Amino acid sequence: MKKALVMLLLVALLAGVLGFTPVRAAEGVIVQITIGSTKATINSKAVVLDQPPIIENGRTLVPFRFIGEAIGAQIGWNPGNRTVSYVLGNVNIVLTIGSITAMVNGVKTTLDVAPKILPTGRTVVPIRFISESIGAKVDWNATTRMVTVTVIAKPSWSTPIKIVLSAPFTGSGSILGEYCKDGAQLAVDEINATGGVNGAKFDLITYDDQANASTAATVVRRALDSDKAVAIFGPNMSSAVLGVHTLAQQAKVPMLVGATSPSLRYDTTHNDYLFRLRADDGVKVAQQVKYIVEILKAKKPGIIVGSTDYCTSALAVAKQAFDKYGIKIVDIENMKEGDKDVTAQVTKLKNAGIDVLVGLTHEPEAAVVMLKVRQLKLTVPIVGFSAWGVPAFTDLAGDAAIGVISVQGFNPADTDPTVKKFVDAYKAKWGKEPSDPAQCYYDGVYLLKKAIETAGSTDPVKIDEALKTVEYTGVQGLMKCDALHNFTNICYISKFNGKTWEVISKIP
Amino acid sequence: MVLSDLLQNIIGGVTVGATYGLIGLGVVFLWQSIQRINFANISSAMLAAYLFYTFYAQLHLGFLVSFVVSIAIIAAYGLALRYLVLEPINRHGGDKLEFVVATLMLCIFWLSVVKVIYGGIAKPFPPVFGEATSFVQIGSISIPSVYFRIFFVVLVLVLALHMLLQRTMIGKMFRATAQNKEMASLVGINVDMTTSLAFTLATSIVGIAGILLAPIYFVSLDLGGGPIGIKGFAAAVMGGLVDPLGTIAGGITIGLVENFSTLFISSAYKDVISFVVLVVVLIWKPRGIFNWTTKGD
Amino acid sequence: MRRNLKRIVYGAFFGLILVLPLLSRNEYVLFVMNKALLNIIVASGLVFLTGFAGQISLGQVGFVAIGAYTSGLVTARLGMPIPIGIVAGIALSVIVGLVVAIPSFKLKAFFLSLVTIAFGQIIYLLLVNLTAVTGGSQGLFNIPPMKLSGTPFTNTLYYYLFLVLVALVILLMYRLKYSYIGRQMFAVNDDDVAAEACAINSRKTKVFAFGLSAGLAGLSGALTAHMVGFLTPDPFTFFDSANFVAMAVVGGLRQLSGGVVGGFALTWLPELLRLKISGFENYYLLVNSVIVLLVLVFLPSGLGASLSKGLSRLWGEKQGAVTLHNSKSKEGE
Repeated sequence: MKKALVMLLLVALLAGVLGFTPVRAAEGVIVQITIGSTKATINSKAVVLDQPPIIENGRTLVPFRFIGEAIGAQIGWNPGNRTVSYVLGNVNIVLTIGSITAMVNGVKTTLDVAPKILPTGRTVVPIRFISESIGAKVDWNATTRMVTVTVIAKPSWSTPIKIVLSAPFTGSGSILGEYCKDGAQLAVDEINATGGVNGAKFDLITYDDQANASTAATVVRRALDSDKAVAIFGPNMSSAVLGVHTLAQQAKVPMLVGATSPSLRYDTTHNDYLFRLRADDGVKVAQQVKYIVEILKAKKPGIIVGSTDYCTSALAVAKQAFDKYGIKIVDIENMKEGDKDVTAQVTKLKNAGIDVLVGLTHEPEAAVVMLKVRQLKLTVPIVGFSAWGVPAFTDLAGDAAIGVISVQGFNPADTDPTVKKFVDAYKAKWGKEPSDPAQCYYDGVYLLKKAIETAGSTDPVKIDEALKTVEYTGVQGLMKCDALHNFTNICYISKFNGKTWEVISKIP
Repeated sequence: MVLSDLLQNIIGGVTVGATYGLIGLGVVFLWQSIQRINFANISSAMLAAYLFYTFYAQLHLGFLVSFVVSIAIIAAYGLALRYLVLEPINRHGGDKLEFVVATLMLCIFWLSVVKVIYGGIAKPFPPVFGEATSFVQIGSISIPSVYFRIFFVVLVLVLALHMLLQRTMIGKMFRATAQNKEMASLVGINVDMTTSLAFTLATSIVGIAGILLAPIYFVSLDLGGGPIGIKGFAAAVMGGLVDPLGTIAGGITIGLVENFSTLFISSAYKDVISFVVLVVVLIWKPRGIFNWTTKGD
Repeated sequence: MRRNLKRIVYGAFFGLILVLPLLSRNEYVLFVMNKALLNIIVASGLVFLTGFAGQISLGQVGFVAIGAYTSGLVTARLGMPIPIGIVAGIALSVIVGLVVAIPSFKLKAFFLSLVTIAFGQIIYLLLVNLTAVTGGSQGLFNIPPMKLSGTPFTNTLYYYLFLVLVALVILLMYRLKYSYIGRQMFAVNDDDVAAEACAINSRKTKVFAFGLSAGLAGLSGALTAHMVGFLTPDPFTFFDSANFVAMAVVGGLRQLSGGVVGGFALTWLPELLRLKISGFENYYLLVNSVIVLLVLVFLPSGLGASLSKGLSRLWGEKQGAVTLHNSKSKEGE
């Protein structure tokens, strides 16, 4: 009994592995036939006809079943009425044997030559008429007596548009996955409920990349090779994006990320298929430092920094930014994600005589730091990075967070009507307030919709072209692809008053 | 280095370290009873903290009720651990290694369960041990009031355990079984009962430790695995896996080492230093540093 | 008749493995298969170390990381050719493995496991903190892929290469198991005091076991680095080490096929559980750990053992071959 279960488990495993058949997207077709020859090709693959094409009245006739299958149409044959029908997409063609009158979508059309049944018993139809009726191109080479039919891939607006979201649901960055998904799903549901994209619905598939660059590599391959997504959202973690964006480039599928490392800018990656949906860290940290130097007029900054790439790349930018102002950072203290006691670090910072504390850590660490700052009575202004401006931090720190200033990618208290509409819709659907990066994936899905509509196609290459030029006004304001492939540089400087973040300035 | 800074670090290290010692006790009791290591030991801490949070902060059941019910559930979990994990493994021919790996997977399992039910974002522990930001000022030293409460509870608990093990009949039976199972059963001690007792004690103590640590670690997945679990093992090892007081002492040592390595060396390598200390202790004195029992094991 | 059945089943199985890239033209499937094959190499090393030689290691990804980063750095930063990188990776892993073996002379089981956990954690922390060398948490990029006359290896090519390597590893383990060294190993596993009494140098055996398993892990790491092209500290945590041990145990610690079965099953299980049900991305790891737990509790000798027993019964072989059972723990050990 147990052995049977084991065998079953292993067989199921094997079956699952083999069961991954890539979904065939709408493909273009090139059909070539030669008069008098039974040899034909469909997309360069050799095919043998049971009846060579013939010419009559200057029109080429081919076996009716062959051309129907070649262009991918649904073939119908009614012996009672002696009619042959083809249905492809929203084109419906009906031909009657021996009649030069045909029907295309119910409209009567006159043919140059009638379809007929040959003495061999084979039924042949005019190839040019059928092909051009479905919008294909027909070329005739008089020398080789070859007819080439080119069917251009047209989006079938009845099939759902597959998009994949890669976000962290487990692992150390796990708090963000929910926001990414909830933002994207909200947009997808709104769009699908209001007519979709040219009538087609979005099919959002979400995968957990575990905030792990190695897992992200697998997930993105699955999205590209197995699901054949037309666009990929995420990964949200910068180091994961650095590892996988070339995959998107090779597959020619656009990748829209919320990852914020400056090393993802176009001038570094040269990836035409990589786009960023929110302000990158370079911009945010620069604003943070600008505020510290120009408004707070601080001269002796101290920094506490975490160990993930989010923290370390922010530190690199901060160092550069302070350098440009000619200000020396007095002390930099490190902490690791999961550390709960920062007595030593805060003590050192206090003893170094800093006049502002810059927080470049994740949310739980920010709370740990603030609790200790209040306990040790470090009374300097606190200016935190984007993870300091979210409920995950303020809920944990409680009153200790009052007075903290942070640069944010998103502020749900923003009175802008577009922001408010998004916040209300999000709250209604998910029962909680949205937080960075929910808004960027929400905007991202709408952006994609606009790009698809502009391109008039679900061909990822065309979508990519459209993304480079399209403009969309979303929750994050005007979104347009700049030279660095960033869609927006919006950020806020806000101060926490115990309940909400009061906006000090909104940039731009 | 100002004296007050030093004292602050000592106080922090001792308090938190004592709770590491409690976690180590969970390891010790189980080891003494079944000679196996439960790698899901730390999960009891996390589960207890989340249960307490649910009862107190979400269902508003009052401190005492929330506490007692949470620990009761964790104690029952201890029994479940015996009858649903250990016994089946033994029955199907598994040995120490299989138990180790099974409990490893169990630890990961609990992390996933909590993640699914409560989400991955840490929750603030309700201020039952004092406000998170309130502290007591003694001269130039400020001590978070939470630390006082925690230390107090640890003290009471350790004393209670000491009483239980040394002065009561059950405690004597427990110690006897730990020393020599066969002799104990020959003398008429119900070994089966003492084994169950070991399981429930182990999980309950770690559960209490979890609730005590929650103000500092937050009600978070951090309580359920990773570095904190290792610290529990390290504390147990320092006590030679046999001496309860030694385990507490070991935990305190680890707490102090942590704080001082951050102070004097580097916070980046804090965990490395703790691990190096652990390895050195293991290799140099595998019998444990704070092992004050007379016999070897 | 039964023997023919055996030939047919084995033939079909091996045939399937050989033509898999042709059957499934899905690059994602091949990629995961490749990862599975590399995991099989690590898991086999663990089966050797823990199953055969009885030494527990809960920090095995430390060796994988050493192999990976060494090869990555040697090829990406120093510009050396890939074979040198791989050899360097294996060499360094083996050397460190020999060092890690030292505590095993005195320490048993649980205590040894703590040392290996510490080892794994130390390696991880070094990866994260030695930013100048390893790139820290931002990662090490631009690791050159393996190339065949100028063009990078495709997933298919990697697949066949890894198949050959796995076959070699299994062969090696087979030879070792039935060799003098293997017998020594089992003796040490059962009772190293008694083994010493028979003049078996238990230290040498343990060193050998650690060195070999470390080398295999390092090989796997180096190959991963070149196949994926970049490295971050993410896949080298304690839970990843635990996962490898789970592969070895789930596969079967006493089976040659243990690494294969465990590596294949536990690499594919989470992938297959990525069902396209909205919201399931939260549950799939939970389901994964439940399934692994159930297998561990109900089939402690592993899937591989049950599989071979089931297959033997299928073709009516007598199960009279000597099988070394798990050593029961002794009092006070």
